[in-house]
Amino acid sequence: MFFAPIALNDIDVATHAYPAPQICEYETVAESFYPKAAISAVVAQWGRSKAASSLAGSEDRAAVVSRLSELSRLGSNWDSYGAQAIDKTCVENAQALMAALPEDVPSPEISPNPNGTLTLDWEGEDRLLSLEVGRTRYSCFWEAGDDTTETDEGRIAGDIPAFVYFALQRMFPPTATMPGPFEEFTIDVQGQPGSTASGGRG
Amino acid sequence: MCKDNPDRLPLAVADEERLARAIFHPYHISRSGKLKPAAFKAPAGRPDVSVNRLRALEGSACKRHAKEIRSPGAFQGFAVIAAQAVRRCGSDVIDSRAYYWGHADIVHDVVLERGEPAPAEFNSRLRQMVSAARFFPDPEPGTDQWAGEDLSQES
Repeated sequence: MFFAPIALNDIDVATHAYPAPQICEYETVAESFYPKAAISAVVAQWGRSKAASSLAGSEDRAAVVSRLSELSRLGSNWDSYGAQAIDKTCVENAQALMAALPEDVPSPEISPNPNGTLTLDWEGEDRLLSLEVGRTRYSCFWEAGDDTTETDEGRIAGDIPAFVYFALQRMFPPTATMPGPFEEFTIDVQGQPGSTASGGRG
Repeated sequence: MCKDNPDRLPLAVADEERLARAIFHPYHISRSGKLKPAAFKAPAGRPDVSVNRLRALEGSACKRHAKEIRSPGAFQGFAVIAAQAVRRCGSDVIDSRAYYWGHADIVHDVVLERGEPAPAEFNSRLRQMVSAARFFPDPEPGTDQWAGEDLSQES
């Protein structure tokens, strides 16, 4: 359970107050629309923290770039069963996704598919997030480790899909205590000593 | 070479039969040595994935057939799975002996589109399928004889 993020336009302009945080089950929230501002807040928090990089055998970013370059050179029939060559747009889309990943998120294992797409896998102890990247669309599923599997599909829009962000955050949670949308925080109101307010941002 | 004669190999592939798919590219094996779902994916526009019926063919026969395929990649070994495990994941197995004796096809209920992802639900099912399969690496890929473990071993 966690607080759903709140978009800037959710703030009451007259009072500058946040609305009451909406408490949601993860499964429900992950399938709903996330405003960009909320995702940016998550990424900002994530990027500054030191997430537990527990991915066994994870590749570093340079190795992933090298791997993508290698895969982009795969010609047709690379699997000996008539596979299509890896589509260059799929490679570019995967590169864009990698570039958008918070730096503390472990790199995925990348592999080709016989229909010319690429799959990015993040594997935790008993969890798996698998994202297939196509020319214009993506599909992904997340095995959450409790015998449940969630799925998501959509069009590639240059950002990492919200479903993927939140699955990754569950798999590799940030460890720092930066103010963020998922935790309580304390702030100094107008810089006055002793004048603080606390609460969930959303 | 053949374990059964034509009269004794039914067209119907029984649930308990084990099927071997030749693997030609290391991309189908993860860093941790597990099979990847792509090993059981068909190219775009087709639903079928070639396998050998181990009821009909021994390891060396399977390997010789694999080597007849003009392959840009080196033979790596076999992914072995029970027909029942394939069917549990929503696909079927049919005999296709017209191709060669002992050949069969896994037939998926999804045909992939070129350059676009498979449905997430199908990918999840394929993940379950490869979880039920076992990869048998070939310790001597340069030879015609199968020198790896017995392919009829349970997963």
